[in-house]
Amino acid sequence: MTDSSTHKQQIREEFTKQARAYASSADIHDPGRLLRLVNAVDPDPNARVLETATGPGYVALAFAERCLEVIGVDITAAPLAIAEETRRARRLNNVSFKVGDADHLPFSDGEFDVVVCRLAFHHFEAPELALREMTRTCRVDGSVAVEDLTVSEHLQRAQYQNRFERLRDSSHVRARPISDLLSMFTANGLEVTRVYTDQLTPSVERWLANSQTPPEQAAEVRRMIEKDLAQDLSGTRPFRLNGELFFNQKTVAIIGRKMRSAQ
Amino acid sequence: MVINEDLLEILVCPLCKTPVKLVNEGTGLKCETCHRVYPIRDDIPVMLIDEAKIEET
Repeated sequence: MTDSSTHKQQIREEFTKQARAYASSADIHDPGRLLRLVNAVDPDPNARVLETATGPGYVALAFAERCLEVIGVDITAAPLAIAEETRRARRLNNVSFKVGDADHLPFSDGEFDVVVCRLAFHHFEAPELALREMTRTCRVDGSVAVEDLTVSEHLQRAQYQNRFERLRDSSHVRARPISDLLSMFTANGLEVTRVYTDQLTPSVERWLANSQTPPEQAAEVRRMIEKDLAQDLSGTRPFRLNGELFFNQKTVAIIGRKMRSAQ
Repeated sequence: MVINEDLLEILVCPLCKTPVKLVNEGTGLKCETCHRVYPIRDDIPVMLIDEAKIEET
């Protein structure tokens, strides 16, 4: 197995294990955040939309309320089964789900008006490749949108957050600073049309419980965040409220238009 | 649920980008170029190169 396929196998194991807990995590299906992303993309009602790394499908389903046809793709089957349950419950017939790899999408060039990916880039070993595939499958003048966790622009602070994120969830590869993500858009021939930031403020204990982190790693994560609280090491600004430990995860959404000159 | 053929029309082989066709009584999707057959499990096409089997005939 190559390093890449080993990592993809790890992702599939992690998201099979976490599927239910992840799908019920408030930040994932918060209707306000989903609506904000849909509004920022502002899709045409006739748009055909692709969501890569769709997981439990919430973004795909949110676009399906507004657009003609939506396809959600994920490398792991377990969360797609949850997505399919939600689709049936909401009686949406214009969205379907497939198992597929964000690095090798099973679609022709320029097939979609909108290609979107939310809270997944930090799991990718080669986000550049995933963005290239998103751009390839988007039509000229269409929109490519990426929302993800983002880290400090200062390398050591970014590394500190990525270290405790990875200890908590081994499928976390690396969250990027906003400047890296913007450069990736530009390099792919995407003209950035909109950027907004947001913040998640998880309780450390609930966040660790969602990922079912083994006790030893969870103890190390707590230790790192406590140290961060005392010494300001990552920019996530941990704090205590009624004895409970919280920290801030910054997110960014970047929307770009595919230029004629894109590959 | 029977797989809706309209929804399959858009799918191509993730490796060589050739459109795939339903085969083996609706249990797989075949690429006529590289002969890979992608399985359909629980009505969901599995379009992963590693999961495909090469069927020459």
